[in-house]
Amino acid sequence: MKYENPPIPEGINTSKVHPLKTFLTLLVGLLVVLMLSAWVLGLSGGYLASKIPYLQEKRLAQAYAEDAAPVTELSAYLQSLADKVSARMQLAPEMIITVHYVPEPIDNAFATIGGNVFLYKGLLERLPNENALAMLIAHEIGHVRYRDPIVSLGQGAAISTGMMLLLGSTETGILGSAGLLTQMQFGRDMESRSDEAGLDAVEQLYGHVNGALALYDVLDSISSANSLEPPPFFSTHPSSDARLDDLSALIAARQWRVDGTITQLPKQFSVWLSES
Amino acid sequence: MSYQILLFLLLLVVGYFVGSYLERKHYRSIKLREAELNKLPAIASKLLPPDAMLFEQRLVMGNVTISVDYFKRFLATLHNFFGGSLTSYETLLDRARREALIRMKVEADELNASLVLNVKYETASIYKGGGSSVGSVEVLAYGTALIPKSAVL
Repeated sequence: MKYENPPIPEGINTSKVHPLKTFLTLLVGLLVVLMLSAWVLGLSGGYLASKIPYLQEKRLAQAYAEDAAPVTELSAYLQSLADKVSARMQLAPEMIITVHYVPEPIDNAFATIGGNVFLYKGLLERLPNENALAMLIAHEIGHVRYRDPIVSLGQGAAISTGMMLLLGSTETGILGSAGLLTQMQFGRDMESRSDEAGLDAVEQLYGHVNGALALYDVLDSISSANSLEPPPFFSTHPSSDARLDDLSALIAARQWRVDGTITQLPKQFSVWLSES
Repeated sequence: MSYQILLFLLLLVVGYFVGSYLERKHYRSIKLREAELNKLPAIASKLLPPDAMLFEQRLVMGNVTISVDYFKRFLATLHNFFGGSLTSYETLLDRARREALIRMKVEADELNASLVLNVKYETASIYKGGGSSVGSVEVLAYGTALIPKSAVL
């Protein structure tokens, strides 16, 4: 008996489509699915979170109340300035602003749930006058007023839970970051809104907006000193230029005064900072 | 996060280029050796030829383990999400089966066999428990070599 193996045609067991083409099709498809679902999840999570009663939010934020630092001249001054600002921001009566001073050389300030505003020594040291400080506090109170902290908490929780369910423990973990970009986009809207509410309060407090915008020069110098600055798409805060443009347009539209007398910081302010 | 993305892209690009280079190289070598060994037929039939008493029978086998590159593994993850054929693993299995058969035939050829009967494949993924960190496959080809009694070493 004669046996033989005929030559088998090449490539009958493999796909003829170029792998890069498959890769691009699938990747774009998956990114679209992820972005869309993150967007929907973020929207719905944020919407649900905004329905959480403020008193409930305060209960969630109990952790911040416990480590209340002793009252110093500095914290009393910051708190009284915050009280003056918040009185002009049409807050709901149960929204009480608590200012926390953090004596660390970090150029940052943020608002979190329960009306807690954190100000870092590093950023305070750079502020040239009280108007800029009031603007900074007013901006953070703006976040509290629009309930941004609890909303972004809800968004983050919804998105990360959704991504975990969707992607499971697969290796596509890095794609989960695609969802974060969508979430940050909401964050930038929130920043602009707080800027406007903040400037409005500062104008009511001093009768003019002179000096307040110095805050953005400070923020600008911080980000330009930081050579590893992320591109705007990755950054939660819109670039200072874009924010200044928006605010200048607002000032022109409302015809606010830009030539008032700038209020200086208390004489001992730098002493307080250096002692802390 | 941007470093993570950069590292990921770097791995993808390196995986793609190195992986396709090695694959092309492997295919060239497979085709060459397949042509050389075509003189030795490997048949799936388990029926002995009528003149089987003139032959000695011996088990021959060829074994190979191949891994995919990072790019293909990621592509497979994408496939897992949407379903459909796992095209990125097709060449992996094709190469592994052909390489295993070649190695089996090499063994049979060294024994001066003139035919390999009852050829079978066993395929095993060897990354059980390794999660998604390894994408390797083991293929074993085995059969019964018929060696002319006059040629038995």
